[in-house]
Amino acid sequence: MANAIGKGGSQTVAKFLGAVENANVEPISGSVPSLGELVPPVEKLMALLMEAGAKKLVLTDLGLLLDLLRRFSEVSLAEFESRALRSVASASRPRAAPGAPPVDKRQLVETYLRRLEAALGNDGLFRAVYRELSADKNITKIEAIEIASRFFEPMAQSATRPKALKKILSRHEKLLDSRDASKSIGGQAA
Amino acid sequence: MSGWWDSAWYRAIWSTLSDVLPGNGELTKDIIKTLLVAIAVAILTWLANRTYRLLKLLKERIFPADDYRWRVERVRSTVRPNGPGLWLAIKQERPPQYDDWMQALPFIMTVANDKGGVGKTTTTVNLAAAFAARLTKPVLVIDLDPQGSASAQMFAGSDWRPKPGHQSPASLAIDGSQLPRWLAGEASAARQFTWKDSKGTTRQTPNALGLAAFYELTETEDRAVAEWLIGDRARDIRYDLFRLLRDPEVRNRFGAVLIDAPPRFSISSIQALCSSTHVLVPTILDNTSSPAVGYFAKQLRRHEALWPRLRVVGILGMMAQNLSLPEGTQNYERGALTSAKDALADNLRATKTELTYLDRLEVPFEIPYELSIPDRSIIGKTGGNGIAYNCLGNNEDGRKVRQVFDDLAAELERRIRGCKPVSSKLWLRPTARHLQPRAATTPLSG
Repeated sequence: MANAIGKGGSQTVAKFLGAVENANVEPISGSVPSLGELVPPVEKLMALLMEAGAKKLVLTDLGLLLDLLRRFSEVSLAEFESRALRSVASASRPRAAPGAPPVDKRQLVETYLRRLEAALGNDGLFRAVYRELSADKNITKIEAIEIASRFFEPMAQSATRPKALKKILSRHEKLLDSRDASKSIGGQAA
Repeated sequence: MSGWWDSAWYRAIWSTLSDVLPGNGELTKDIIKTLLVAIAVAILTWLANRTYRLLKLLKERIFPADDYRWRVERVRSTVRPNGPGLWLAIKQERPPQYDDWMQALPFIMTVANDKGGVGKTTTTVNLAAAFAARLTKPVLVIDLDPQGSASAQMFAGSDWRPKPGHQSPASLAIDGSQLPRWLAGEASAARQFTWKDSKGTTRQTPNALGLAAFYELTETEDRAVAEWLIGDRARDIRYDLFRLLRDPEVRNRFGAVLIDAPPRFSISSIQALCSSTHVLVPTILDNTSSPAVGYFAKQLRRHEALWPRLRVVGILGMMAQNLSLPEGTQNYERGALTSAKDALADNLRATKTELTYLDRLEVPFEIPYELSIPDRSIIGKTGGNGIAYNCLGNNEDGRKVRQVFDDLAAELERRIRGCKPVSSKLWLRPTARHLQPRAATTPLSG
């Protein structure tokens, strides 16, 4: 993994993960070491860092990494390294000239929807995905409204991009509010 | 005057001691002998005392006296600050048949939510009417809300309130004093639904029976809890309704049982949830009601040891106003349903019991928004004449209301059917009265 990050020349974990997001890898069958085996140690490391009061940025990156490991848990380490390296290398190349094949927006929307659902309730992870979504130039007003409508509640097509993004965040915030309220109820029964 | 010192055995001991003691001084010998006798008597007395105390202790262990200290401690444990609370402080004594009986037909569904005014009663009675039209065996509704709103709708046009000094059938059901025959026998306490037609004539609904509740239910609840807490009830009262409803005799009599629970965790609610296979959570689709679903889920999770077989069958949107909005239009009600689902899932996550069985079936907790109960005043305003499903005529309103609850019954049936032990062979009418057969909800044959 470190090899892949290093060779790929990615400046941040988020960028690296974004690049390998759509790496075309096949699940393994048999007893070959898989990415799934890395999940428990990374979880423990994350718990340790949380207890030690590590920086939020570090935790966010680890959270993103965990998300990726879980998603590709059935992929072999060797397979992932080679494919991920290729994927990162192609992502770090300069932008293609105009006329290059356009980004598959439908798949992009699906990917964001899946990642948002997976991160819902995990504040660090959700905000990282949300930041990435907000900064993604490929997500225009139309995609933002589609994501908001499917992720939370239908929005008018006339809504703006910021409003749609705010709507996406509000589902997560409502869940956190509900969790806080639930904690304050404690063991009391109405 | 003679005493024990004149007895033959004493004289024998005395003379033996005289022979054993050395010397010829009889007086000295007498003194020594007296001392020896005194020591012997003291030892015997001490031994007798110890034996008596030991026997007394044994007797207390074997036949304990009615000691009120443990009763006081039992009650105190339920109200201790930051303690486990009333329903968890005393360890549950689930009946030995619990696991077997909970896997058998029929399904028992409690319609519950901590929040009041979300439409529990409306859902229960109309859904019961819809199930009565679908199932071959009768549907039983138990009203456990002391206000008796469900009873008023179930038995419109008839005298259903208990006479002064008498208990309502719902009180008797939760009191733990009734045998299964009381409910399943020929002279069953369950009464047929009644309603008034447009001419004011009282009619009966076939296949739908109910147990009425009224304000005296709270008195029964209080008495049951008080007697249980001080240890006067031998059985665990939390399972009294379970013993009645899940008894094979009662199970064979009914095709489904629906319970209208009060909006709080009273003994009635606890008994309802302990005896239910499923719980349906209705909620109004607004920002106040959605979080309440999370609080309710937290309580379900917290008390899950009481009902390890209970399954959340879904969250149902109530009083929806935007059902007719075209797609692509702002609709906050869908968001409220999503928030309610998030709050519920978050509180039930990682539970080891059956509460999250929908997750395992990969069925979302929320019942599709399109199946929400619309905010149609006609549904709630027919209480005086009976259940809307029954008493609305064959006009457009009546057809629409019936369609709403028929669709909901079909969806619930599909969700219940997903869990094999209870639903693999629901007793369904081969041809449902109000339903057009649909691929997704084809009724099973009985």
